[in-house]
Amino acid sequence: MRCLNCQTSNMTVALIGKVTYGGIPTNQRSDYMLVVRASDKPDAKGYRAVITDGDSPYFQKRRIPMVCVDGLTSFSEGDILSVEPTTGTIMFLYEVNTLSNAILVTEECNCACLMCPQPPKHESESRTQFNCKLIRLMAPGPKELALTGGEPTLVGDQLLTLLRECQKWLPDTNVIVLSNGRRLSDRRYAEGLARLGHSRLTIAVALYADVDRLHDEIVGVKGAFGDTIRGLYTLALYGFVIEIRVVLLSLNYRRLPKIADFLYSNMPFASHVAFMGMETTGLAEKNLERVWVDPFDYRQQLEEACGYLSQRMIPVSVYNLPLCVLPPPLRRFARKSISEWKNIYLPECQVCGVKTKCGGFFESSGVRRSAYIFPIGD
Amino acid sequence: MIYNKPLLKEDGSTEVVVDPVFFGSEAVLNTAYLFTGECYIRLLATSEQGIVIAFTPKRPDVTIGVLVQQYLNELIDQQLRVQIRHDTADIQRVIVIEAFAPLDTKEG
Amino acid sequence: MIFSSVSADRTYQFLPFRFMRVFGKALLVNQGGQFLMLDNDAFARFAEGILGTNEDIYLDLKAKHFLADGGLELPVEMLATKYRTKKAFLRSFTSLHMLVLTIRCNQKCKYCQVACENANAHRFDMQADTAKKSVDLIFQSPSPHIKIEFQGGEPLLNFDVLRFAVEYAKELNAHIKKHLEFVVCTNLTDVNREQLDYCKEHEIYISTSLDGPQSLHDLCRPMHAGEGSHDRLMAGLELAREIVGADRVSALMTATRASLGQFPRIVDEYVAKGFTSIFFRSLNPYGRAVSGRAELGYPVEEFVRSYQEGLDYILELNLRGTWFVEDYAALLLTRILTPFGTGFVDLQSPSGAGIACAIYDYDGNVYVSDEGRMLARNGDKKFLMGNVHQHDYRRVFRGDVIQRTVESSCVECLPGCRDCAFNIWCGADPVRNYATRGDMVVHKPSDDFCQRNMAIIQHLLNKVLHGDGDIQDVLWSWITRRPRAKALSCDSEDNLCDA
Repeated sequence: MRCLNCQTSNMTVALIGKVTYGGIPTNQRSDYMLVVRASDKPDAKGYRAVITDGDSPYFQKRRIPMVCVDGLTSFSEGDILSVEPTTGTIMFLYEVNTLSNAILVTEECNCACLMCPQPPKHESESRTQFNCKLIRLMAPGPKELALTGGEPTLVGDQLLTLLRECQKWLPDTNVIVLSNGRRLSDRRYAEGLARLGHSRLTIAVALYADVDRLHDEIVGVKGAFGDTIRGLYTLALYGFVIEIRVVLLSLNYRRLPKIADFLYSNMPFASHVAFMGMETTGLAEKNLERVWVDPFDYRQQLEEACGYLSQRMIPVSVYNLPLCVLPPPLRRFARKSISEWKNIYLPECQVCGVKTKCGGFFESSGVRRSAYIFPIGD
Repeated sequence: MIYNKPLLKEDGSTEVVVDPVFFGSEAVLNTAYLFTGECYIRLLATSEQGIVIAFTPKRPDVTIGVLVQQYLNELIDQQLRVQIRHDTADIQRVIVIEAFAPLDTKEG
Repeated sequence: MIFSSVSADRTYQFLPFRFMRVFGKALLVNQGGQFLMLDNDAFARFAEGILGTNEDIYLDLKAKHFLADGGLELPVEMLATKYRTKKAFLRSFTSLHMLVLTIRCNQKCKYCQVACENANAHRFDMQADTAKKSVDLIFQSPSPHIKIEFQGGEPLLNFDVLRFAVEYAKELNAHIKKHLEFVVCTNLTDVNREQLDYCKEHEIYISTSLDGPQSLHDLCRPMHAGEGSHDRLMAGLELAREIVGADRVSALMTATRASLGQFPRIVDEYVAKGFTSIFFRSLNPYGRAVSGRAELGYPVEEFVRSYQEGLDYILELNLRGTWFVEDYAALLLTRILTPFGTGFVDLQSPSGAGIACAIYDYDGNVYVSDEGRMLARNGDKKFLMGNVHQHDYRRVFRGDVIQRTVESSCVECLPGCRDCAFNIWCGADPVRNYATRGDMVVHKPSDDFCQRNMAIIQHLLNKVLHGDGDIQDVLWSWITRRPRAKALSCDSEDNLCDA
């Protein structure tokens, strides 16, 4: 999530609210945070907080919670923020001007992937109530929303609750649940999810190899491969829209064409396969020497794998890789997949002829990047 | 010796003896079946030296010498098939049962 | 279910598979229909149980379920899923139902399986009440897809009953709501506008026969009085395309002695007449084809040679930009290269006769296949399942005839088939076996049917394994039924899109 520093007044606990520049009727203001210049003196009665660019005696006198930031241009009407006074942090939980929005269902996980960009943490409290409120505030909602983690299925029936809230408040939003699929082999659980009848739901399941030994090594759990396959079978049984995601690492790229064949032969019901460049943060940074491979070095295998699935009419995408490291025939599969808030371009990209079409890099890519980045001519 | 040199008999048949240490009767029979399009095959009583197989061509254009060599070659593969089938028969049966078992009889 | 692990002295165990020595290597095919080629020495090491667990080949064999180490539960579940998928046609049970509206015909094709009666002998027409009882029986099939195919003789000669059957079927289906399709197999030589308008209105597909250019076609498919039928067929075809649309008209050909070596010319005729596919059908050894064997028949090797030549010619056409499909190859390729099975009654295991298709004769007799019906006309009622006027669904579709036919046609249990590497892509035809050799289970080494299919499958495998990228694209365009996309230019970024 995108974060900003701030200073708060009249605020002791964290608040979440929806950004507005005004015009909200008084009886609806409690969910909103009004953006105003410090010099202005608007009617701010009823708002959860005000966001200003400087200290304002006007609001201080009225004891209205105040969030002071350096500039007001980052806030768009409808963004949803959480403000944590103890750390002086604003977190953008939802941004209307971005394509990628996500809800963190839980930080707990039942795997320990070597390249996990968001290492699992123990949680003492459930986030579901918070997330339900967030979903309600998001209405009418973005085009696409990811339910992610950790491992979302670990919250059990609370995941159904979240999806029900999505159906209620965000009926036109495409929801994608990112999962390792292990708990989805439980037929009763999958049936419960299916009975919700969510009309715009995709389950994206991560699978990293065509043999258990390799997949289990990558996810750090023995038996995970079998669980995930059974999860995929169960999802197929209940008619879910299924996406399969394969992160590309040093450990599995050599087998990529074989993995493509494995996916086609065993999971032809998949609606989409995404091959993903690795994000070099979190555990991936910690295990870098073990997992890193220059994307340029797997371009041949990736081209073969994408061509293989494409020929068999399985939709394929390549995520998280810049166009320059991809051989030209692969570029049609590349998508702008990196969340805007952590998406950067490099100095050499300024003169690149395809910059507007390219997904760019992760902010964290400074840790290690391909040695083959170069601007493409017009 | 896995098999001896083929022997042409008076009645026009060619006999070869295969060593039962290497080849079971099942493989010998299965292989024989494949060649019954081109020749008549008799499996004669097993002696100490082994299983005696007699080939008689069905048509004048059939070259028995070549055919016997083909038979012996194929016999090695057939012996392997017998072994694979025996090793995997139970698994195959379970696969077919599982493939057609009603859903509600399965765990999940 | 608890399975025991591998025995102590071996690191892996076999999963069920068959193998064949071909193209100088070993071809392995597993229980789910996946295949792998191994060098002979790698195969030997695999077979001896001494393959190293870190070798790439070891991982390939494991991923493709030829070997298992550790637990058996997951490989069994995955192979069962794949096997079930290959046999998905069994779930539907009988989906193709052929109604013989009449055995009258206005043509007298030399290889005809139907004992053709005079065009005016109306007592050989199916009556409306027989059609009604047949459709009643048809809708008791559990299949969610029903295809009713009108055959004959020439079915258009009994158009009133065709109309009745279509409308009665639609009436029944209004409540049952199956996916219902109609096809009429007609020679198109006498079709009129009214009939075609009706086909368009009720979305009836048209299947016709075109054996080749005029000289070839007229040789074996004369009108009843003896003159050629090609001109009339062309007129009927043009009218049919105009009224029902080209995508609802298809043709197939039957190869006779005269057509051998001529397949490229026949393809040219199909292309010239606007077709986008052909089915190289070999002569069935029934009906007049038996008595006319000297004139019409040919050794199987010659058909295979012609087939290969015809297929290669079609591939060339595709490579040069004309999209054209050979339907038998497309079917086999779908079985070889995809996880899915295909319908195709004549090459199923267990045989499709009865369980995938059934034929209702003009008199209400129900047979497992057209060939079964032909045998009955010659006095042998072995494949008569029952009669719509006398017997109920249970007696017809659960009786002895179907049972015996199924039992004799599972490749896993047939001599010669059981160990054949191609068996999961192939099938058996017990009715044909019985009709030609007197037994539902034939002597495989001398079986034409086997020889033909093995040769064709091997020819296709050669293309799959050794064909270049363009050939692979053509083969896949047949499987996916999509004309090949033009190669995307490297600099075209038109297809990039945002996430």
